Amino acid sequence: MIAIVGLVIGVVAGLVLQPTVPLILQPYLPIAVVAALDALFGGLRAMLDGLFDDKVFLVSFLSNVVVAAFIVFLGDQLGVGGQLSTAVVVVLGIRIFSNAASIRRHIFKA
Amino acid sequence: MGSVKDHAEDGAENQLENQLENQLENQLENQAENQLENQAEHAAEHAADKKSEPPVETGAAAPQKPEPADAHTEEADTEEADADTEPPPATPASGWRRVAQLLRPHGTRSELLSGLLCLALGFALAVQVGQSTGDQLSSLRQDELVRLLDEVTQRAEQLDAEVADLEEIRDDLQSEDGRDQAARDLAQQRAAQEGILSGRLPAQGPGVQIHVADGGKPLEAQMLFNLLEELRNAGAEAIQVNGVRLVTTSYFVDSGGGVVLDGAAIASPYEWTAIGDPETIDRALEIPGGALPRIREEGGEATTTPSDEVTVDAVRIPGEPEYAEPTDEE
Repeated sequence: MIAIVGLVIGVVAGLVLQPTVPLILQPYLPIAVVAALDALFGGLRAMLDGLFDDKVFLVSFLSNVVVAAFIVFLGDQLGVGGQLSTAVVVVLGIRIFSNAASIRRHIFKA
Repeated sequence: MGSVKDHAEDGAENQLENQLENQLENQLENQAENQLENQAEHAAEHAADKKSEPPVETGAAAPQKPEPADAHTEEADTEEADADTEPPPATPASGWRRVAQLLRPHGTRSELLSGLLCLALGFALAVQVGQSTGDQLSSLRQDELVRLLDEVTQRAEQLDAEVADLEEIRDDLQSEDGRDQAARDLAQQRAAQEGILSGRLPAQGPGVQIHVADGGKPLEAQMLFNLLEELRNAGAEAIQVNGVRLVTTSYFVDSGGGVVLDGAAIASPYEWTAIGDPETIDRALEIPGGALPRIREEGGEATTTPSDEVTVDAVRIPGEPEYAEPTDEE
């Protein structure tokens, strides 16, 4: 519940404040958001599995974000930033899908 | 297996098995409960949930914990539905109920933490959405921007070249137009000049009025022709007599008592109008032995009146030349 409230507050704050993303962070923010979404879905699934651990959630959330941003940064340095960020998005998208499938199985039994 | 011994043995075996199973079950349940308590979860409900948990199909993303259900029922591994594997001691947790339970605020540390993380995620999400919808360029990568810049530069060059081409064409057309205009002006000017000289257009300007009248006997055509020739020599540009425009084909013929000019009889007094330099014309006409003195010698009267503004309003439509054709110029 608190998580949902937090999510809503965050979205509203982002929409209201409309801060400018620093130039350095601009390429990494979208990837970081996708990675955080992945962590969120993973946490939700673990919660439904009854395996939720706040420490694991925190660590996976932060490490997902950092690793995703780092991969993109590395790709930029290697000159394959575009392709590598696509790869990251694909992988995270697949994970989000599988987690969502697991959650769906819990809730709808199907 | 009909013997008593067998039965006894069976009974002993059953007892032993039951004992072992119970022990194992209790042990595992205690273990699970302890672990769950450590995590500050609701121990009893979760323990019950654990028993009815179906095995996770996809690769485990979260850390695996020992599942008590695995220990004593083999079927639980294969069965999908959790409701009918084993009657759990607590209420059977359906998916929705579990969601509702999760939604209930507990005020634990983990909830606060995940709330905080979700807040950060929501914030970043909204910012990124605003960013990518607000400004397409700022979300592009460096190499994409460079490519875009190249494309734009190339396009700009193409357009510049196109502009140069079109401007050239426009200048051509304008200068052509200017030439046309000049040619038209020239043609109009020429038409005006030649119209005056050929008698096609009326004209006005400085000139002289000449009054010639018969004396005792009628003036001969020769006299009038002399006068015309003197006028031409003096540079008169447009001449008319009694309303008839004198042109290059004009002629005077004697006819009985009068004079025929270009097929029409004219009679004394002859009123001439000539456009030209008045002084020159006057001097040329009055030269001793010239046109006017000879008329006076014949008994006629002749007077000239120089004027700054005379009008030759008679016109003559020039006929189509019957024999002459323009030669090919150039």
